[in-house]
Amino acid sequence: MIQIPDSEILLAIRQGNERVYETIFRKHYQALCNYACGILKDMDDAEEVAQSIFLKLWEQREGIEINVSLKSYLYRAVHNTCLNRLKHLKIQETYRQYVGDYLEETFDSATEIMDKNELENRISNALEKLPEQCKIIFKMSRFEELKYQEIADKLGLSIKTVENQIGKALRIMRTELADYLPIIFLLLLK
Amino acid sequence: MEKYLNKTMNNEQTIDDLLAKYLANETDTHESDTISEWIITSEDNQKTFDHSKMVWDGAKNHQKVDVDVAWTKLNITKKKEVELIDIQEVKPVIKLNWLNDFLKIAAVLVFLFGLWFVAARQFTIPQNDVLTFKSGNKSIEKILPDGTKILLSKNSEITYSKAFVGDTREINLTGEGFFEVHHDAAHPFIIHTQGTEVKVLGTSFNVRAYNAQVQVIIKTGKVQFSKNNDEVILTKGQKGEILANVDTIIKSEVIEVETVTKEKLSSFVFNKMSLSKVAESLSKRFNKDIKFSQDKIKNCELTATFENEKLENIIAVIAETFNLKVDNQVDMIILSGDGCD
Repeated sequence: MIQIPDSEILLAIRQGNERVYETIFRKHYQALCNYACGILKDMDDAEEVAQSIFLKLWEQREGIEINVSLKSYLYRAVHNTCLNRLKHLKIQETYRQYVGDYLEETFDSATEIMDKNELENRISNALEKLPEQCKIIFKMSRFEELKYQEIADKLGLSIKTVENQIGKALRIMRTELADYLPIIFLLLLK
Repeated sequence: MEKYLNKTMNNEQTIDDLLAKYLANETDTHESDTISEWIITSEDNQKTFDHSKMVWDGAKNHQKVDVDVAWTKLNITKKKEVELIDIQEVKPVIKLNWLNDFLKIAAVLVFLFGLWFVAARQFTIPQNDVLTFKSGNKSIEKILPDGTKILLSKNSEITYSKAFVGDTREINLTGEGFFEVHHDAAHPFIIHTQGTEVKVLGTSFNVRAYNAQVQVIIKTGKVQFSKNNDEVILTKGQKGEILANVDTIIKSEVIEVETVTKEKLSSFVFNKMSLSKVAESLSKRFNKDIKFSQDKIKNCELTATFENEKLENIIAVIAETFNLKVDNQVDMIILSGDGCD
């Protein structure tokens, strides 16, 4: 796979190259949404934020000056927008546990955001590594927020099986992430 | 751990099943109690619980989104924004934008701007009652008797007969306006400007004719563009140009059209307000973060009134007042300076 340097990507976008713009959108969108969801706790809001970042990138493409990598830039923009949104929603207390001092703090370097992102990648990987049925059932519970009974009904299984599968998912992921969980802890306490 | 559990519940249920159930809010009272007891039994248990919770919370962020849907949504929003840019930001350079071809927007935009001076044609209105409508330093909106909406740019003027709708609907324009013509095929809408005529049938378009240079660019729809004896029909993606002293219209292809828009304007009154509070107000209204490089700037007190101003202008005034430097970025504005004491 050929890697195009960021400077060329930015130049293309600045010149209004929609195809390049679409490529970076498709490349980063999912991950940026995941990142935003981590702060906002809601995927719909997260998508809105990610979209607004890309929209601004396009609208202001001519005047844009990026000194960090494109990826860092996008994450930082998403990060700031999310915090801003939280302030507006005045739900600081609810998220203080997770976000902690992030509300007052601004990242000094793009690398701080990147480190946290590595973590997110691992969680994503761990999730994908789950056995098929286990993964499906876990996702139905966690993402679609279905009750155990609803999942059991939908898949024609017993509740016991659903319980086992989700428990198994939890155990597998916890084991996968064992090395990194202490890090998550540190980030939370910061 | 397992032994402990076997004492209190079904053999088949492991601690992870119970933890997951607990985190998913599916436990009954008895199960919740069991878990609570288990957690406080040892440090290790507490740790396992904390880790489980982290995994549980963390997983939520990894829902798959539909990138295709998102891209489509983004494009629709993007196009709306493109159509609505302030005329001051319009550049004469025509950029390649093949996405236009995918647009399903029904609105027709016609963009005229002057190239150079041509003797103005006299336009006589049958009735005696003639109405004039002028804009001053800012753009204003006007609705004509037939429902046609015009967004007049600064320093522009339209004139039309009071009765307005006859066999045709005619209007005189100097300057610039964005028109959304009410569809009425039986009564063609005609704009007279700088010696040229633009005839439209239920479309929306932007006309700019500050001097005698006239250029018409069609985004969608159809327009008849004429001067004296020369007449062309222009359709989507085409441009018609009239040069002075030559009665021929030059037709060519263009791709992107830029037009007038309603920039977000707001009014504020600040009375000895600290810049930190000012920034908060502005951020909220314009939805853009405003930050200060030096804390002492936050204490500067601003007394000023802004009426229907863009964020850019307001920031410029503030910067001027307190001798601040403005760093305008994509997602925020950063102000820096020496403070006020």
